[in-house]
Amino acid sequence: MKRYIITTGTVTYAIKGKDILKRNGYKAKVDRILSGKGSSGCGYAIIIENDIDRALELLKKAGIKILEINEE
Amino acid sequence: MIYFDNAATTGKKPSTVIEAVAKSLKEYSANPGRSGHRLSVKTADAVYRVREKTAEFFGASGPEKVIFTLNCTHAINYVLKGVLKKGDHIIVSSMEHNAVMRPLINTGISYDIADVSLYDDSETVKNFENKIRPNTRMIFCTGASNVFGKMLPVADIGKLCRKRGILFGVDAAQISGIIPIDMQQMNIDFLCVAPHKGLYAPMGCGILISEKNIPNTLIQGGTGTNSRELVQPEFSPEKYESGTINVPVIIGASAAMDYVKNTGINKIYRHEMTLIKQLYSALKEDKNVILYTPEPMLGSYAPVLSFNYTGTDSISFSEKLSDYGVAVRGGLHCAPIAHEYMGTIEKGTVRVSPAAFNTPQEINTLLRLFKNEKNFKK
Repeated sequence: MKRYIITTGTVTYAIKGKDILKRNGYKAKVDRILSGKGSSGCGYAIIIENDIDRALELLKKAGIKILEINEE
Repeated sequence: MIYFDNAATTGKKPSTVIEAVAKSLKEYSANPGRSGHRLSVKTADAVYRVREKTAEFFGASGPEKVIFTLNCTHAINYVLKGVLKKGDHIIVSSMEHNAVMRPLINTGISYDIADVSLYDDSETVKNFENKIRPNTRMIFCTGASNVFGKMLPVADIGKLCRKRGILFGVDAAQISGIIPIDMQQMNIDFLCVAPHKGLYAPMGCGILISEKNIPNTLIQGGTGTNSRELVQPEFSPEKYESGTINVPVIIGASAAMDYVKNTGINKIYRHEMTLIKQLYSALKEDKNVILYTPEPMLGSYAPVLSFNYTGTDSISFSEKLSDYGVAVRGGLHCAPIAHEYMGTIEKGTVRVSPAAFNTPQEINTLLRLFKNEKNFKK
């Protein structure tokens, strides 16, 4: 099972994004992360499993600012 | 003490607000948006829920538009200093508080003042329109005078701004929690809120709801994100919230919004205006009292009434009332341009501002004091 770490600009966007994904059937949570590739330091990410494309579409539609996406 | 100084801050807070603050100190005692541990995330989530509620309460487009500031004045400073730049022009009203005028003067931005008609709102809108110049970037005005209670036709001014492509900011200190505000319907780009007044929240935070990006941040510092970067992050609301926010008060503000919503914003407003009308009707018959406005009508006035008592100045009169156990405010109320406009700059006015917890009996007590002239003559 693939796990995706979607880094957002702020904790506010992370929680907003998590809520949207949960409402759309995702198992999602917010985690604090230190850095990913190209990250500029501490930040917040939404962690989900599978179907990243639909998730990104939902987040972008809601205006969530995404800094980077990593796969584990 | 009978407290009639609610335009400064509502003197009595609902028990649910007090309980929410106490609960916050116990249950949300971590720093939100900083650490990753469970309590910090729980606190961040609680703060986010307040942003959601605030956005819904004021008809904003999303929770990320809700910025917690130190107070309403801080929020106004953010708008005026963060948005306006050299060469811009701004229009304000003749009823502004120093919270608007002082930062505006400090920016050095060119400005005009549009007169507020006490009788005809369409005239007020025309007065704003007549001041528009090619470089007018923003209209910023109070929602209601903190001295004379006159409400400005915010929705109509918003319509004018949208039509002319001008940004619109509102100092909602005297109307938030008093009348329903829908930023999207009223075309408001920047709403500055004092939750400790008509919303019955504790003192200690303000709210700026910004539908537009504010390029310049007044302060910079830690946001809990992008910490490797030495420049301020770009994303709202954290971009504007450097340093630790006042979580207990923010949680209290959430309970306060629930209080206003559950009690009924229109019900509270009607109650307050009934008290104002009771006072106005009696003062109108008192030969010692000078009133400055027409009878305050629902939808046209906030629950604020100014007057003077002949033979004494407003501050001495207010102090006397304090001696008799009644809290009102005398002086200029930090709004000298409103007093200049109304011709009361020299002696100020006595301001009575009731709230949800005041009663007709309290107004009667105040009126009984007035009946005995020697109580107040110098």
